[in-house]
Amino acid sequence: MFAAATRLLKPALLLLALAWAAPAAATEAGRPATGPEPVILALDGEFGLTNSTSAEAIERGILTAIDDVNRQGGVLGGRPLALITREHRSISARGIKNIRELATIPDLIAVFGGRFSPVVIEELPVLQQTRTLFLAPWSSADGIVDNGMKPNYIFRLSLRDGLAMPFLLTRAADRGLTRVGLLLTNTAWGRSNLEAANRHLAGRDSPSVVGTAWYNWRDRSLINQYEELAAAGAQAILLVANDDEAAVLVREVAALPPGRRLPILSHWGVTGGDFTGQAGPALQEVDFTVIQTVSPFRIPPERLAPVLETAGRLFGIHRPEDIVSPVGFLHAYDLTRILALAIDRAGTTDRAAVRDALEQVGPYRGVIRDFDRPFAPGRHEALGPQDLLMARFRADGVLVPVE
Amino acid sequence: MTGPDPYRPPNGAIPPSAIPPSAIPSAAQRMLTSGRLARRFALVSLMLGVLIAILIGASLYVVSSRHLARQHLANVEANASLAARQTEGLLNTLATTVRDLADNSVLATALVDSAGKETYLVPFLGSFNHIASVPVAIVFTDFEGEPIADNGRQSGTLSIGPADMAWLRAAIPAGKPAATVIHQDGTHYLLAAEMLIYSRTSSPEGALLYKVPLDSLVLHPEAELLHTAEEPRPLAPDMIAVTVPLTVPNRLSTLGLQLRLEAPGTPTTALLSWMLPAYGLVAVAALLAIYIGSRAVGSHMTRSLRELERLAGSIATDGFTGQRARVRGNDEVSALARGFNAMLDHIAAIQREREMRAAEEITIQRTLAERAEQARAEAEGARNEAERSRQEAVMALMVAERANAAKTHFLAAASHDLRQPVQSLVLLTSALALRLGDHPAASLVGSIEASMDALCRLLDAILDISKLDAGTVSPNVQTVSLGAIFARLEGEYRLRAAEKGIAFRSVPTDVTLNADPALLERIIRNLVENALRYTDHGRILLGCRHGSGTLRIQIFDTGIGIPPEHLERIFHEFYQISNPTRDRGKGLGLGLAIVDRLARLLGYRVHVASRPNRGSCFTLEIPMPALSAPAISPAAEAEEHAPQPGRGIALVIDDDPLVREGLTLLIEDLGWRAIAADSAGHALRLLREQPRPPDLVIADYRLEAGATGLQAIHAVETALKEQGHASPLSVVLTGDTAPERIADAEASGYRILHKPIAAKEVAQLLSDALLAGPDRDDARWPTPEGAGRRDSAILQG
Repeated sequence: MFAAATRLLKPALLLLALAWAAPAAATEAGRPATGPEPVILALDGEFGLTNSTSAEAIERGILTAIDDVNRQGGVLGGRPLALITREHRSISARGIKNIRELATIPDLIAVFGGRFSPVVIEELPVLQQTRTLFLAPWSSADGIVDNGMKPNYIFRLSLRDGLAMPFLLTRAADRGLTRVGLLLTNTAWGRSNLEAANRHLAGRDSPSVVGTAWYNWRDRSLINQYEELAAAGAQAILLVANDDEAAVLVREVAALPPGRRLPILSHWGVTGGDFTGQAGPALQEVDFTVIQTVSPFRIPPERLAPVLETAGRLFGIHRPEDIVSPVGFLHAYDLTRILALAIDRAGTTDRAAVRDALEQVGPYRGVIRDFDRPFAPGRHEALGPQDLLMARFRADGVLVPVE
Repeated sequence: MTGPDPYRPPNGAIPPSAIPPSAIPSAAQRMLTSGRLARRFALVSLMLGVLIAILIGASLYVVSSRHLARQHLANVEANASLAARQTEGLLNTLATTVRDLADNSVLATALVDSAGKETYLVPFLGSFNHIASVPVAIVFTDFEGEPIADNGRQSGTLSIGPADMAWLRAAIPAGKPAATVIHQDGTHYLLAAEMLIYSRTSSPEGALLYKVPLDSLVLHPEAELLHTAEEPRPLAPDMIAVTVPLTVPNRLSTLGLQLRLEAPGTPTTALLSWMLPAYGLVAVAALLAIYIGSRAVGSHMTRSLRELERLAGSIATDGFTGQRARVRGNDEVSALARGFNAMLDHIAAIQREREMRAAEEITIQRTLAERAEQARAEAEGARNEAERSRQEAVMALMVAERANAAKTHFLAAASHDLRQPVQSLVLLTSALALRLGDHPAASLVGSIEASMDALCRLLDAILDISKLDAGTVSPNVQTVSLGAIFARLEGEYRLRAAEKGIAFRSVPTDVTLNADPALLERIIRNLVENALRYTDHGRILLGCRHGSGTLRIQIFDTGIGIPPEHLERIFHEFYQISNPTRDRGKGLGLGLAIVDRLARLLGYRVHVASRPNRGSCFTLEIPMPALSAPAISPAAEAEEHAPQPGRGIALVIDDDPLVREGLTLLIEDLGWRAIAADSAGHALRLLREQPRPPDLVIADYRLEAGATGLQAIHAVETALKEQGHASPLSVVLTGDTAPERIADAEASGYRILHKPIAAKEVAQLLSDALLAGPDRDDARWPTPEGAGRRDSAILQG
């Protein structure tokens, strides 16, 4: 299925590359006779990773926004935005390589990245070194933004672990699940969440973390860690995992007697892939909720309609249910629109100027919500604690908010 | 036994002087020889030991070296196999470990999140700097082969260099595990890559590159790993190599790894270096032990022999005084000792017996001596008797011989004495016949002549026998025509046979042969006459036939035959069958005796087959080489020279007045002048009175007072020579039939005539004397061509 997707995607990528390369070549050859030179955006996504949907969701969000922007006259007085993509398959090395390549493209304004925080974290030195503007629509590790860069080229419109873990712990506590176990991926993302949880729990009695279990990437089973936490007295599991490992856990837990099935409160990584497909019917056997920053079902229709109008035209996404990995799509859309505003505000494709402009741009009326100033110097996080909600998967796989 | 016995011991012991000195070992010799047998035994044992040791050693060496070589090869193969299994195990562990490592979630995590890798990844990888005790360098790379981390082996000799990384980068796109063998700084390394495959991506997201020195995978010090691309090192001489293919995990199978174990072709010399001296020492020790042991055993075994030797020595020096050899055990030496003792017993017994006999013998010898003396006396008498007998026998023999000689002498003397009167009778009768002419009494003279003729024949036959016995006849071999002889005989005897009323015929033949013609004819003639004599009716046949290598001349007759009991004796003198009355008409019984003698002289054989009253067949066998091609018939043979006496002077010397007168008368009747003398001196006197020398000298052989005609002739010839005259023809006239006289006469070289001679012969002599003429010397041997009227003339010359 992924292979098929890749096969379909490749020609599209090729076309996009040509669409960019042809004018570029024309520019090199002399003054263009056919329209203004596009302003290049890039996406370094986990394309090529089976079952992953996040990169595609981000891409569609960006393309939808670009379409809107370009239809409204583009940027910098009529220059269209164009997107090029690179796949990193969630592998850091690929991401780094992609960044090195992308950074050499002269008219490239910014690179979108996602969803895996470790990849982005690995890319940070290169981004800093190349002064490449990086926009994070989905990566949640705190360190991505709290990177110590001055100036900081990283901007995020996304969930942040520092927000997610307190929210999840709070929601667990709200449900009376005061003793929780942390089941974390043994990556920078996992460690980021542990730190966030620890920060949140410091000085608090409740809820309490009875234990922390780690799993490694590509572990075939998580039930041991689950049982370990359950044995430690966990009433709920706070899961920091991506879709495939989470699906494994869900199937394993669903195989347990109902009495031993603990509620699982999950970070949002599971929504970046074919989680429901992999988990299958087991998902309905388990109390599985997932943190989200937004749900299309909670967006006022008049605000969502223009986006769906474009997305429907481009990708057949007509209804909120049609939006796969909605956070990626919606965050990417808003982030692209914000970037376009910043470019225009900067009035140049110079990345430093655009970076500065991003800290100044606003107000912006977005799909998620309205932003007075999405970013500010010293604040490169566009979202805040108020933007959080819990959701669950319907039997048809559609993610719906939990009331 | 009566003589001195040098070996007889005077007092029962053998005297030392009787033994050869060399047979007695001296004390020093004994010392030397003592133990020599044992030493020899030991030496032989030693040599046998050496031989056996060499044989066994060589066999063992060959067998064991072959076995060792086989075992060595098997060991090497087993070692190689073991080393190969070990290496396979190592390789398997290595590959499996790295594969598992590539599957490990820590590494997978590090691909996604290398942040903090120093805290978990580096220590983790660092724990793999040895895999199964094999030092291994591992580099963990990303999808492009860029190093992410290593196992801390990047600083030592075993490190992964840029070239290795380049190889990895080339290998990653294939997305499969890869392996190669590289050669760096003189060392071979196994360089392999394991891909980190993430189930959710289409290509490897990372790789583990590991590098291991090939040598470290081989636990056997002599073994090495070969791979497909590598040419095996050339094998050193005296080395063998065993190559074992390795069964390795699939990812390494493309390398074609083989384990090669080199080993010396033969077991190590180190082994030999201590083995050979050890073996040598053992061999030397064994040989020493064999020598000493066999020496001891030999000396033990020869102890009895030495004792025997000492015993024998003591017997030799001191004599036998009843010593005994000690008998130990029951072996050959003890048997020898027993035999020695038995011999000593025997010697003692012999000595006792000798002593006993000595006394007996003294008595016996005394008796014997007496008897011997008696016997000697008797023998003396007997010998005298025998001598007397022998002398008697000799005397008898002498008497017999004398008798025989007397007979011969008598015969000869008688014939000689008869010849003298017969000679004169012949001569006188001839003279009478000449004078009577046609007187009526002439017929009486004819009868007298016939009687005289028979008498002459008898005397001639006796003379012939005598001559043959004297050996004075030598054959004059020439070519003879047998047919001529046959014809002549047939001509002669046909009439005589017809007168007797029987037929005589000869079978014509053209055979010629080498023979004395006169003697051969005489033989045949005698046989024919013999047949004629004894055949009264029927016929006589003369012929010849060729046999195998012989010519047979046969005379058949239908006569009275010869009884078998007479067959042997018919060839004896005077033997006649059926003639007890000695009828003269039947001959004298000398014909066959002459035949027998002549045949023997000529080398012929005569034999006879006969049946009484039916006839006889005499066969003369002549060996074939005598035959020859037909020769010219001696035509002159038959030619008769009629004596034509001329006028000459003949000197007749004869002491017998009758013969002298008869000869003188006959010679004068023949027209010659005769001078008669009774002795040589008389003849010389008469010659001195003669003006003319005689042409012919006829001297009787036996003259008065022991003088011979030869001396007389010689004296006459000498006298004539002194007078300057040539020698006349000289003839010796002899009446002797004694063989020695005949031989003597013939040795003189003069012509010999035997009495009685006929007038015809005298006429011939006269003729010959005239013919000889001035060359009388050459005429001393006139040819006998003028064969006499009588048969005896054949035997002349």
